Amino acid sequence: MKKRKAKLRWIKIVVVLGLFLMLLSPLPVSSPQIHMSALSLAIGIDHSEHGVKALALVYLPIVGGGPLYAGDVVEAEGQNIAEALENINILLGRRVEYMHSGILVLGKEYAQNGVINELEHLVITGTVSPTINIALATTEDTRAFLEALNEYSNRMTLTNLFKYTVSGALSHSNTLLDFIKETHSASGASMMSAFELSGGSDAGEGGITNEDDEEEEIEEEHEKKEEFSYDVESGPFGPGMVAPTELDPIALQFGEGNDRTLIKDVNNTAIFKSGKLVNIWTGEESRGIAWVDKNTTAAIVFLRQTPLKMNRKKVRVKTNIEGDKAIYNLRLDIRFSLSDLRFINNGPLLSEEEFKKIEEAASLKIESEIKRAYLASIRDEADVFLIQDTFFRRNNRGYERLKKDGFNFLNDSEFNIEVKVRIS
Amino acid sequence: MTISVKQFSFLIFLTMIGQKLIILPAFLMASSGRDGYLTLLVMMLLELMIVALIMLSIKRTDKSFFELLDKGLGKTGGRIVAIVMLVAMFVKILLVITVIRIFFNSIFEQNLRDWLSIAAVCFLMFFIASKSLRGIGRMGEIIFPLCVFASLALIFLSFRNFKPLNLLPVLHNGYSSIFSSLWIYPLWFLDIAIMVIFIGQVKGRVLVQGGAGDKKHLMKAGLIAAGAAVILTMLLSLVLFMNFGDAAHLLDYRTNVSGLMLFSRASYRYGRYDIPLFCLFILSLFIVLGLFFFSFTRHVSYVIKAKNHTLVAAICAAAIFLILLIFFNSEHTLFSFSINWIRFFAHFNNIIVPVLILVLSILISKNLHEKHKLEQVKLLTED
Repeated sequence: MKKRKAKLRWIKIVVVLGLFLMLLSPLPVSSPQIHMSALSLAIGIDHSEHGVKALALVYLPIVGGGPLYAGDVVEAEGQNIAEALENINILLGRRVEYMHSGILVLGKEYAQNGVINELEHLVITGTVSPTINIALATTEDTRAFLEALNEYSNRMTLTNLFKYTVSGALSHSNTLLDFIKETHSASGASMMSAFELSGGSDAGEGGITNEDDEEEEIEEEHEKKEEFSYDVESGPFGPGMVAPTELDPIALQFGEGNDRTLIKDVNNTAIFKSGKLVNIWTGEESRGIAWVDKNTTAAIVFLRQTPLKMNRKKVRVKTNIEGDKAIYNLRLDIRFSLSDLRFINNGPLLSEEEFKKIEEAASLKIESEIKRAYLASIRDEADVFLIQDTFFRRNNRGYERLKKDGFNFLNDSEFNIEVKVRIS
Repeated sequence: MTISVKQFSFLIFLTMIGQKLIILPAFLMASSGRDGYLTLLVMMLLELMIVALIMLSIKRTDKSFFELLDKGLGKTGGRIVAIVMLVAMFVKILLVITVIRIFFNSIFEQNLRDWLSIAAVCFLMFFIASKSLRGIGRMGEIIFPLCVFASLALIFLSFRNFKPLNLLPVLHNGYSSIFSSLWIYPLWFLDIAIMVIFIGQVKGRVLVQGGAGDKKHLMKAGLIAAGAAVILTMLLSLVLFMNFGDAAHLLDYRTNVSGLMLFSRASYRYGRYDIPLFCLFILSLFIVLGLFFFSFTRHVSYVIKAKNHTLVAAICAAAIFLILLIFFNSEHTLFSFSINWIRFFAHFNNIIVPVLILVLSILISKNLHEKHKLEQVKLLTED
């Protein structure tokens, strides 16, 4: 009996070892060779004559280790995105790993024709991560945009570029999954960041417009600025105080003066309706969305030269449908910290009354920025605040009833904003 | 060879969470959309009820499952029930092996040869079935804390993506989609019914009328373990439904695992902790596989009256290995087959068998009790 048990034990050990050795041998398992792959850090999709042009910022690992081959942008065309990406593989003679990509950049012309099919294909096939950040290249050349991204050198810094600009520069950003979900939502409107290059000229001026209208638009912008600015002398601050007339977000402006093409502005927002680009909002128009965006929690805004740092933000939405009336209440509680008082006050201390004045002015300013974004969304008929979707989810019965009667939730709803600012 | 109440409770927990997250959510999302989590909740509550039924049976009798079948239904009746049970158990084993294969292929090595991964899993099954139930109990004891840790850590990592608003509106498409899923996917849930094999195998004396018995804590421990499994499974799957419920078409069963991993977004910054965590979590699936294969081989031995369980296990493992390679090499074929007519056998195993066993255990224990009473009366009259 003992001999039999010992024999059985040996058989088991031999079988386990056999399986282990099989795992190591090249016969049953073809172990992946890193030098046979290419790592993609960013992907671009653009329109082409043949259908779609795919671009990838790739790094080629070298045999025997060592540093990666310098990043380069490769591109290929195809009837659809799957074919275009496969053509990149053929071009490089390697399989490109797109899952590592940190950013997906869409070309402007391509975005105008509708993007949702290709984007969904990328997620369904597991080509890219659904949480990849997406952006629109406001320049005509998506390639130049990817080359500019190359300056960020690795995936982590690319991702951080988004994370930081969203939190630090008051711009709205989306992941691919969020973009697709927003497109399929009851509102049907979606957004993504629109980046402008240092050499770019056609972005940030109200979107898809003719060059002839440029001058007129600049004038309009000037008028808008006046409309939303505060009178320093007679404003809520009173004489001697400086009002927060410019709550400017930080723009990524570095590398100027040399030949490098770099990302200049991250504050614009591309607005999509049913997956098609309808407009590009300027940084000022976009700021209203960023205030409502729960992800933008740590923005730094400037009260003249003094930085106001947002520490905490609470966004609360309450909806109600009473009869034929849909009410959308938006409430924001924002806490800023003020550390350097030299440009506001001559001394290091501010009275409680002065604090209150700053808080009031800031809340008025934020409210006006949200209103501006709301008016822009009505202008473009793009429900970027997802008002209709919120009613669909929270007040479904009332929503279905009003929808039957042709109620327009974006235009006809009562949109109330309450902003409470606290400065410490 | 019996197992302790503690080991039994751990096995309940592991069996309940085992197969709920790897592929099932993708199916539920396709059939019930964003309400799929409600289907899962109903499934888990049904499992909780089955746990209660099995516990009651265990408390009532010290006879084993096969003894109950023999005594209650006769040798022929018992064997017919066992043969019907074998059909669904067989398909279930094929499914679990395929799920494990997909998991490791999608995460670690896409080029891993199918036959190799199947061979490794079949050998593990054979090893588990060649031992006693106590061995599985001990395995469960080791794996339980690892799975709890992995589940809690995954919940913690995915907490940022907890967006309850995405689950609204509830039941927008009515109740029908929820119940149709229950009807279509019986091979993907109610795994807990396999625990009937533990009847008569849990330590302690049977609960006698008027007395406390040694199994007084059994029900409490079992239900706590089952309740914990319901909570953890629901918390983990809710994140998936919150993030993909509105775009169910983006997720299929192959990308389900990677979809789950994406929740831990922070892991991109601090390292892919989610991969080892999922590997710990998947250990519960090995317990499910072990239990099903153990039960399968004992049913085969019972039907053909074999006594050498090791030999039966070896033959069954080899047969499963070959059948998987020859007939079900593609997971599509197997998954489609699992929702075909074969599912009616699973309904039998999941619902009818636990109820039947409880009835048999009550009847047999009643008979025994009456016999015992008659003997006592006889003894008294003789005195």
